[in-house]
Amino acid sequence: MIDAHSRHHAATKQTPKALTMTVSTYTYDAGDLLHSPNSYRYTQIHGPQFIDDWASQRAAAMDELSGGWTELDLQSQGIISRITKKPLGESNGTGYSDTSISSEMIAWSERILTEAVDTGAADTYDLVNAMLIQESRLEAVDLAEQKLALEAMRRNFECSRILHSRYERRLRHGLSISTDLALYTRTAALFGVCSGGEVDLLTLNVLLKLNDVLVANRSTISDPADRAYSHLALAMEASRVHMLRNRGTE
Amino acid sequence: MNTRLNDVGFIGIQNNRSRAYLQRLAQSGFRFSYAIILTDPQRKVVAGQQQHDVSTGNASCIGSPILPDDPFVIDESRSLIETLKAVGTNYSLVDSVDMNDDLVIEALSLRPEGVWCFSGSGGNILRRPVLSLGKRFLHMHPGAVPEFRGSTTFYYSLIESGSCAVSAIFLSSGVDMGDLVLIRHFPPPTDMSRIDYHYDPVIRSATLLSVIEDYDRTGAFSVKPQQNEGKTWYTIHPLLKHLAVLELGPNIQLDPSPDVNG
Repeated sequence: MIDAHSRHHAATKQTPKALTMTVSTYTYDAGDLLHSPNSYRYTQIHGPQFIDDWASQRAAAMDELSGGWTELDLQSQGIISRITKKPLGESNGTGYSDTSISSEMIAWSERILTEAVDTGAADTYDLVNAMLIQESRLEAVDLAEQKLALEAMRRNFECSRILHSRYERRLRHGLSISTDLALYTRTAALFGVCSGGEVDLLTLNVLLKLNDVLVANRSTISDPADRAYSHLALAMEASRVHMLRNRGTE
Repeated sequence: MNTRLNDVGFIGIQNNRSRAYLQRLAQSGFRFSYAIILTDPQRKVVAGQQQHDVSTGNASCIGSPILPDDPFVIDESRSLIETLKAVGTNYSLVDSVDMNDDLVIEALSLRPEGVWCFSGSGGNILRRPVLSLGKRFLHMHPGAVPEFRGSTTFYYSLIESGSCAVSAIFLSSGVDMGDLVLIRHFPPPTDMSRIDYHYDPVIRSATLLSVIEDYDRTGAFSVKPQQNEGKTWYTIHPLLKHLAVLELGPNIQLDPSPDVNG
């Protein structure tokens, strides 16, 4: 129940706002971030209002991205259901069964990961989907290839704050900048779920930056699967931040 | 008369970190053998600089001490050149803020100093040509290596451990993986609005002074290799930065009129 719980928590953490119109201090989720990413260097400290503004803008984005998931493709449906460990339809009342991840999908995923690590090159969309399938497996899996590929993706994204459609030469990013929101939504979902039940700051840092891109582009995210992955990524971010803020007290 | 560090030069941009390095050493009786000041030809503000660093050159105010047992205060009304002239250090200006630029490499290669105290712009990673000059670059890294390599480690360290540290290292091709000279730990800042442009340079310069005092005493830098295993951090997201400052770090105050630039 990650989304409902975390969003409730984010809402209760907010301080009362003045009735007058105020300008948000959280400005990192706007603009053409697919082409001109935030640098995040020497960012200004605003005070508690900044955290409130982040929470309210993320909650609004989650609302916008809710619903419309009844037409999910089976693969996305299966991955998301498994990852969230609940039928997706709970949120919109339509109900999904916990679609299985087939053995063929798992075999494909392992092949993609092995090839990526062995050759140092991969199509990013395939690589991310392969890792999402691994994350959605019900049994515990500890693939070394998955760890290596995640680390490479994290390093590449942190250095450029954009995704590339291919990784080459020891999984370094190629020249092909991706503006494919489907890739961004799945990558954000991946970094939302890949640290299991723990708060890993390195992973959360990537997730926050990827979600800034998603929120900045939320009005153009229309594909049901893209919306579902975006919602998942934002819910996982809220959950992780909640856990971090309450570390040591829960 | 200040003690001249015969084989140690200074190279950096004009900002509070560089001011702190030069001023603290000067106040403690040391001066670099030579200085190379890096400037942007268009006078743009680069990472680690504030507007006054590239316009009038100086701020009008002098702040208050940052650390409880350290009276040192950065005099922002003094330019680097004023401090260099005051202690009698010769210097040159280079029209580039990129350490990998040919102009910088040429300026360094003309000098005999074997060690250079580095105070470049944020994120300026040294590449093979400059690292192959036969010079060593002494860097004060704001985190305890190897656990805190990379960027904005002050904030990550505050979240993870509630404290801050500076590692004196020699730069190498791996990010913050060069030989280690010294690690000093410091109490966390009490005024978070001053962390980037005051607390940071004050504790880096305190660590530099410790290294230089030891060098002056022994005639050499005592170094040891780092463990390869460690963690590399990347520029912190502003939400985590706020959580570090306001909730997860030590109990600290936020100045109502922050002076940190975006």
